Amino acid sequence: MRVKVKYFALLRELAGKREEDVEIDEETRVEELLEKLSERYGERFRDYVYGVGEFRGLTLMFLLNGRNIELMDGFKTRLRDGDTLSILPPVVGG
Amino acid sequence: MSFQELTQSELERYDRQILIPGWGLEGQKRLKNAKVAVVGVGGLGCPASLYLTAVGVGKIRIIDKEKFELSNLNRQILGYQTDLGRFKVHVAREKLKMLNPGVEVEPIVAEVTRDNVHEVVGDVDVVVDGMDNWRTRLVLNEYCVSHGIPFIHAAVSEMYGQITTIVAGNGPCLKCIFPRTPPEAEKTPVLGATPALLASLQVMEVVKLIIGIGEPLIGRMLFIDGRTMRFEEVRVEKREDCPVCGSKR
Ligand SMILES: [Zn+2]
Repeated sequence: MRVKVKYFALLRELAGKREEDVEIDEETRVEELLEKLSERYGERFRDYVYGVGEFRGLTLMFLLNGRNIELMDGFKTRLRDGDTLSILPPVVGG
Repeated sequence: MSFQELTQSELERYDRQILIPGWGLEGQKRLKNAKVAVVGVGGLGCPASLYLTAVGVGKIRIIDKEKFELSNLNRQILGYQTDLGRFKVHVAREKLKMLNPGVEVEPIVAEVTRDNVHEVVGDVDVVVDGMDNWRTRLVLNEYCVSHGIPFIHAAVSEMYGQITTIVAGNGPCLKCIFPRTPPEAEKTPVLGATPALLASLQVMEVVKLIIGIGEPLIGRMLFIDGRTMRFEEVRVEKREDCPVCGSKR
């Protein structure tokens, strides 16, 4: 099956693109997808999405079809064919 | 409050916007009779209140507890060098009145909290988010949802920004989108033009809602990436079980 991933902010630079379709197995969880993408784009990508290492303390927002994955099973949320996962940086200032 | 007609000088002042399709005299009168609260007179609130004043919103309530500091001046464009140490809302009122004396500007020195939001924000037609923290934004979100007041959320960082319009019942509220309060930031890096851009978009949303033209940014969050100069929206969904706006609360 296939899902769409949309990147924002630094992730666009790390992935070198704004969005892509990713081929994954049925029942794949968000964290498994992130793992697959991290293998593709490297350690900095992984540190960024999980808010570790250089990006310690960073909390990104993951929207799956417009709903925050915190409302589902977080990183354990299972993906379905045709899903869109948007990964956004925290923006707080005014 | 009685419905106020437009004066000759107002017809001239607002001529170029009255010409916008769907606006007309009726739209301008609606603006004149509207009341908008700008909560936070910072990077977003300064340009937002300037444009709300220029466009002729009848009453603008500006709320901020702080005084101008030197590190504000790269983005909080109502504050000049000579205003350092003065309350932002007092400085803002002076300048807004100079720009457009016909607009009533109500300055309030306060920090919005759950306890005072009713009194401080009060009965307005739209609330503009000029805050720099989530705690207050979520208080405003709750107040606006429970009183049916449209709330124009925006936030910025570096050259990034996000904006969405919250209208209870028509789309998600901030709590639907951010179920857990996102982390606060002590000092946000920011290029002043970024909040100015977002504030302009906020004012466009306010005006559209008051006049009743166009399509508001409901159920969509527009993400602005100034680094690559790309604007993109993401869908945001309402939660039926949202503790603030849900029908199955
Ligand atoms: Zn909600």
